Amino acid sequence: MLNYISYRLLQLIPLLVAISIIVFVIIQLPPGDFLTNYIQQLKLSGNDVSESAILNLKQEYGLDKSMIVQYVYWIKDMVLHGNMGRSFQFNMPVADVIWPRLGLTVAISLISLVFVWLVAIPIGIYSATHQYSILDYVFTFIGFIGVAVPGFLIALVLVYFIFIETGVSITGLFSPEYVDAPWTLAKVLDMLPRMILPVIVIGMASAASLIRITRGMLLDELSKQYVITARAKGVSEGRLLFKYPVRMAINPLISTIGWTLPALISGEVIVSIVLNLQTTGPMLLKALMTQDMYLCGSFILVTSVITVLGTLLSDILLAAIDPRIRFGGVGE
Amino acid sequence: MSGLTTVINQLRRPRTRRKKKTDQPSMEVASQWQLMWWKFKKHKLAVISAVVLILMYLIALFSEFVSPNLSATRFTAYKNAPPQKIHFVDAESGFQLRPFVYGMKEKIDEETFLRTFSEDKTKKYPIQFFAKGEPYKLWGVIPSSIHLFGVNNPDGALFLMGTDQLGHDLFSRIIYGGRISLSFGLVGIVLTLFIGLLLGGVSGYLGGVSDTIIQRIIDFLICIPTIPLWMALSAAVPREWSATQMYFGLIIIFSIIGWTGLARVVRGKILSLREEDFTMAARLAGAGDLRIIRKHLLPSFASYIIVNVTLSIPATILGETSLSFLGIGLQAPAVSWGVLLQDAQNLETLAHHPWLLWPAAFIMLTVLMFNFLGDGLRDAADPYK
Amino acid sequence: MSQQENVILEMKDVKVQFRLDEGLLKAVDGVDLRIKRGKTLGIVGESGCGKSVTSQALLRIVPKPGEVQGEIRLTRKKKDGSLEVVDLAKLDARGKEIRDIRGAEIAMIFQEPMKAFSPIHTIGNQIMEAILLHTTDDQDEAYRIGVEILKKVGMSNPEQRMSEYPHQLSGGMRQRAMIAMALSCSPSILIADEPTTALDVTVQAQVLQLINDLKSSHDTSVIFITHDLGVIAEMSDDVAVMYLGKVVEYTDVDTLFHHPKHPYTKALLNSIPSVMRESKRLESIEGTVPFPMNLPKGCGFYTRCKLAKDGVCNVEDVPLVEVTAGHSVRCLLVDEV
Repeated sequence: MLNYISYRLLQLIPLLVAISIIVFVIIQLPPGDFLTNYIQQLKLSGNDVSESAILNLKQEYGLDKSMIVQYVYWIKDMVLHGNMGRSFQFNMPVADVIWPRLGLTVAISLISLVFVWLVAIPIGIYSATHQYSILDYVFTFIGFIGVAVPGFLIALVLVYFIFIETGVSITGLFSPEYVDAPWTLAKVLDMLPRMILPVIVIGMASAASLIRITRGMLLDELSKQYVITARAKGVSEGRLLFKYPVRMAINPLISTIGWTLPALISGEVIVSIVLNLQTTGPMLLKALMTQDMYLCGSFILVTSVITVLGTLLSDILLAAIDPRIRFGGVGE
Repeated sequence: MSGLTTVINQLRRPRTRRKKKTDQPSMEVASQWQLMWWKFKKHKLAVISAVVLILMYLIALFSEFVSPNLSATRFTAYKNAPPQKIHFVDAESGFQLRPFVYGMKEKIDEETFLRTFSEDKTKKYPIQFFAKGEPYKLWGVIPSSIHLFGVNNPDGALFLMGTDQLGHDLFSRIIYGGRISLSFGLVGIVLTLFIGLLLGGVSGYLGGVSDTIIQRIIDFLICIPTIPLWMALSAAVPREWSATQMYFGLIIIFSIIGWTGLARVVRGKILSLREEDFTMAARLAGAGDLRIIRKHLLPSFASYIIVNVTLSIPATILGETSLSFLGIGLQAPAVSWGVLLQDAQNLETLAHHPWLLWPAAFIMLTVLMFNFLGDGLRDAADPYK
Repeated sequence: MSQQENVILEMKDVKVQFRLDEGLLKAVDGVDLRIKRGKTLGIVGESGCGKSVTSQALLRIVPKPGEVQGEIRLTRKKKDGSLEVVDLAKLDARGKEIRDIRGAEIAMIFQEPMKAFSPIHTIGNQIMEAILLHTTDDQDEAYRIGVEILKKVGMSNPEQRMSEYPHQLSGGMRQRAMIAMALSCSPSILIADEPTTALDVTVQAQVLQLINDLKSSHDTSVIFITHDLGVIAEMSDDVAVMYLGKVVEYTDVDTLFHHPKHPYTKALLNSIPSVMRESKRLESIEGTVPFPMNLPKGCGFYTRCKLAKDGVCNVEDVPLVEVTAGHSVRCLLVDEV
């Protein structure tokens, strides 16, 4: 088990390096480098920027060096000092802009993940054990809509209808009085009911596809020989269902976390823009509009790293519960 | 398990019903595509979806002709006008078969300064087929002023889905937008298909180092959340680009991120087919690599590729829509469904002008239709099952 | 009457039907069989003849949407030693009564041990499951019984095997574990559904030997299902030949091999190679088994039978007739052949 974990950890390193390179390229993509923007900004705000100051800045950021050296500077700064560059739009270090909002993004994404599992697995089990029943068809249809219609459209339509019906605008994560308030219990309590809609909207697509997968996988498992063996032993249907097929189907489901998590974070970004949540989504959009590339790049970097770690955790979890992976021998 | 149980299990799946003997006299000699077609035909929802999609693409193709107004025309007298009601019954002449609309009167609330429109029953405009309207050039070439339908009266106007704040006819714009949004899905998939087939094929057929590298790249692309990556890449596109450049820029962005799914399918299929006896038989008979790929492998997984492509098109359409909706994809004056939806971003405007949500309905319809179609194709893809 | 007492399971006109959209699929169509205490009944037939479904009907584990009709009368000992007769066909397939019989009174060995074991539970866990359900509630005792039974089926290091997973065992070992699992609650009837088909020939012989040994030491009745006549000859006391969901010939093993009556049985026997019959071509049965749905009236074997007579064999369904004592045949032309 320890071997397995360390092997998986080692595998991560090239992946993380690749991600960081891509992010660095993205940061460098727009015409004009960060410094020109920065100097322009300083000039606009009335500061006088001398040639020597520019040179100093260039040296500080390594802009006079080659791309590779710049990349090394950037990585070193980030890993050693947690410095992710500077957002010239917010005129603050990127880290200071990102972290407070990132917490909320991660929280909402994780709650959505829990929501997806809590909803999709029981429905998937029901659909599989009651194949071709009316409810099975209903769930299949809802699943279709969930898969087909993107979260931001659902959010848009829901916000509109709730506003028309109740006159309440359900955008935002906090009531106005709490937006800038420090974290208190009252703020959390204020936030929780406002999280329900975003969580449902964000989780809908993933829940729909998870229902489909659970149903398909269970149907496969239910007709497998070992289920019949257990039945022939006199095990009751309910016990049998959970001890064997469900338990078997859980394994591949855990491995779906690998793509559910990025999908949820993706969904969170765009839904939070529509619902105007105080998370990273609206911030990222603003940053993109002004080509604030350090901010964008760092955001992609952080969310990717979170996804990678999530996948790693799901793999380890998988190894912990599946003897075939743990012992390296894979059966049929 | 006995063979019987397997047969029973297969028979139980409603979609894989065995056909009655009468309407398939040549089950044994039918080609793979004939079998697929037979099976597809029985998936009613998929057939309907295919018809709807073909209609939508035809409308998009002839959008200048089908739309009653031009997309760029601004009706300054009718800003934010609601959709007109289509009437069949008139107070004077009673019921008539030809539908008509009334003219619109604008009223400004003196306290709130909100503009509202009401029907002007004194002006009646019958809706006619092949009505004469504003002149246009079909595909920029063929000049005409005949529209599929309209009010045939320069004083009247026809706004089936209302107008936006600049006085554009939303229905016409949705039809024009369909041209960009729908074509984006098709054009976008071409490049994706090319990259996916190439890399998936190389990965599966050659194996070894190239396989490992390509698999690592796929792993890597999958773990980056797509929407932020799209957003960042599209933000990196130079601002000065024209609408056409942006259109193809976005296609390139989607393709270099979106080929992974297809490549995986291709690789998996090739890996399993490579081990099949018929491949070995062909090799023993002296067939070369290219011939084996062309004659044996491609036909065997072409159906899977078609399914995959059908399900990727809506994803591409949604990608364009999402980015344009957020304001970092296509920009006005280009018209796509996502661009049109930008107007619906604000809850305030939406509450007063709910018809601005109409483009969303078209997006959902398209995406659902593609999904149903893909589902039907997926079931048909394995005709021997 | 003594023979009657020895019958512990009697099937009368058992039918298993699947109601499908295309029509009624008769997988088992009126089967009468008797299983005697301590004896082996062999059921032989081509794949798709309904032999597996027949055995599933006994345990009421026929896959959906199958329905079991007819009578399946099991004679079981009550706790006080007196006998009672239960009609398995009348029990609720999901109910407690049938579950008490499954695994305890009637146990089953399946064809492919790899697939028949859950890959993510240990062998011990899966063997003890049946013991805990039927024999004892005590974990330690169940473990002890499990080790004991593994030892009995000839497994080395039974304690170690208990904590191993199916993929860690070899094919033969897995089938031994499977047999151990089936025998763990000392059932009075053991159903073996093609238990050796998936095994190597050398291992096959060992497993067959094991089943025979255990049968005599436990006084267990065995229902042995196979398509292999050689195995039937070695294992069975009585044999039923099935075709298209019906028993076409039912007799003791010697009669079957030396004086077969039904054309199908004869054809089957002619299709196996034998050292005794020199330089004789092997015969195959022409055609394929018809699909058991919307069958025409008459003998099921009509389409493939060399002796079939139009206007005789394809008019009415053919009854199973006792031609001599203990030898029943379902053929109208039985006297002519």
